[in-house]
Amino acid sequence: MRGTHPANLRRRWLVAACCFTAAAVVFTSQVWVDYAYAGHRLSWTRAFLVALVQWQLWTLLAPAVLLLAARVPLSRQRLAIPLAVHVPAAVVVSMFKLALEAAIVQAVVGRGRMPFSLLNLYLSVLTYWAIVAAAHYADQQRLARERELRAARLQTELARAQVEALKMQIHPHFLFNTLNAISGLMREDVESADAMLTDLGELLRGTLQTQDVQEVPLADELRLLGSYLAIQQKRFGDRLTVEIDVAPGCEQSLVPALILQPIVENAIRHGFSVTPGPGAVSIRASAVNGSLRLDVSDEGAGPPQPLREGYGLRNTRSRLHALYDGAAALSVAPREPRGTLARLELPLHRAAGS
Amino acid sequence: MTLRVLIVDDEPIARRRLNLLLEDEASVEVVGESEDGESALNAIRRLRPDLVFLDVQMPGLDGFDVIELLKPEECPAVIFVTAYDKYAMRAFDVHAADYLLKPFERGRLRKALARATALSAAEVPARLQAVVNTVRSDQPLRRFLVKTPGRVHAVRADDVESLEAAGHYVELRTAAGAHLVRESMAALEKRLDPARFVRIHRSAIVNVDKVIELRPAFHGEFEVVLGGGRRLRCSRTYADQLTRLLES
Repeated sequence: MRGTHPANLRRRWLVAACCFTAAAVVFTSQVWVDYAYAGHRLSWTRAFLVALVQWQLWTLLAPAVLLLAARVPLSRQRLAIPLAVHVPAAVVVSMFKLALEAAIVQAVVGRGRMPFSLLNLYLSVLTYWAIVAAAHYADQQRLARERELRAARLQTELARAQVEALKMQIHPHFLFNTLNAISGLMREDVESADAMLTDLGELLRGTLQTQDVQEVPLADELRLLGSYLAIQQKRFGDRLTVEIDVAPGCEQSLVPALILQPIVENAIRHGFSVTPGPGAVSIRASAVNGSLRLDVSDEGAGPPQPLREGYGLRNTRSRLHALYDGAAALSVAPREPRGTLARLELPLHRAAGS
Repeated sequence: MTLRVLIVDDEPIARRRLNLLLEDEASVEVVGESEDGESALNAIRRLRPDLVFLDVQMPGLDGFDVIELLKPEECPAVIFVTAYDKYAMRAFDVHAADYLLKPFERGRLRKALARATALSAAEVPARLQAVVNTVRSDQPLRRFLVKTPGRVHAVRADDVESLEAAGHYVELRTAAGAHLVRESMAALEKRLDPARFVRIHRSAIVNVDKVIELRPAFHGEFEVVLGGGRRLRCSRTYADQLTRLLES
């Protein structure tokens, strides 16, 4: 059972108690009629008391039924097990309840012949099943809500990743330096200026287009990064070396859309661009023990110890958790002899039909 | 009279672009180019330019570090060049410094050149220093400049474990080693990020991110154990503040 929380059980019990009290009010006249047929003339107060006993006993029994329903929930796929448990349980609980009821009612109305009807037993069994069915319904509602919530959360996180990626592109330092470089290239090499403009366009469009798709093939993610890195490489000339190494067969593996962007941006911004002299940023993808491993490394000063994670990395982590539960990991560590290594490990999987 | 100009920018295209624009200015001669703060510092001392186009954001020493490290008599006129930096732009406006925002066109460049040449050389160093001071006071110190004979390097505040008084100097301790900075503890303390650096003793400040253990000692004092294994005493006066910061 995907844990029915004790607080949930308590709330369900409270709802059951209210329902049973209402039932007692409705059934008061039935009790009066039953006793009248058996030759007893009960006052309406007594009749109500008897009805209250009949129904409030269910309030006492409900926690046991709810617990059992939580332990053995109804499920469409394997109906045999819950039926095998709840059919006999319904009868046993009902008999027990009727015996208890008889004892208490005698105390209320005094000794004498009790009206008996098989109907009471049927009603009890029905009530038992009503409780189980209500619990099942509540579980389904909760699961549906959780599913919706999870989908909404994933959507929000993707939107955040998109905003982060856009921020990276319109990060004033990146955008204005890129525009400045384009205006410089314009005077010396029109083709090259053109290529840089195209890269900037691709980058902006690529990010805007990643709308509702949670996962994309690694090749697509790398294409978008390619535009970003091409711009950076032009800006910094020989000072920046970019290495991209994708093991054969990994290109079509699915990765969360825009997952590499904040990591590569960190490598450039905090690793490469604050360290004088030439530097390299490398991206490697390989399949290791059923995981897709993505390594992004730089040759900068290394991550501050202890690591202070920015908004981008925190969002990356929470997306990984929402998408793959515990099956994905992100680590950021110093690298020998210098620099930072960010490692992403994702479950290796492909789009259906590819 | 020609104006001798040095161009400082970490991006080669940006340097070439400025060079190309300046070629058309009759009274300007570009005498050199530098790609980072340290080489800019050397070039300024060696070439003695009249004017420097100084990129603000650069690897290692940034534009403001360069000005901070120049003696007043070494300081040329400066036109700052930046893509965007809100602290810097505020400081430029406050002190009416000359600056260019990338990308800029010829008209802007000419205006900046005219203003920079109109300024009397005598008041340049003080004005530039005022810009640096404003920028520095707006944001906590992120890097320390450590001067050793022949070179200057930057130590990230993130990496510093402790600052300890040592005579007229302050010793910056990092996992990699110790550096001496010629400044007083009190002056340094004012510029540190108060959310991370805390005084634990009359002559010691620690980076709370590097504290791994507090061992209670006598009289309400603590022994502070840092990531690198170094142990320092925290006197009672400062104990409260240290524990409060550690818990935040």
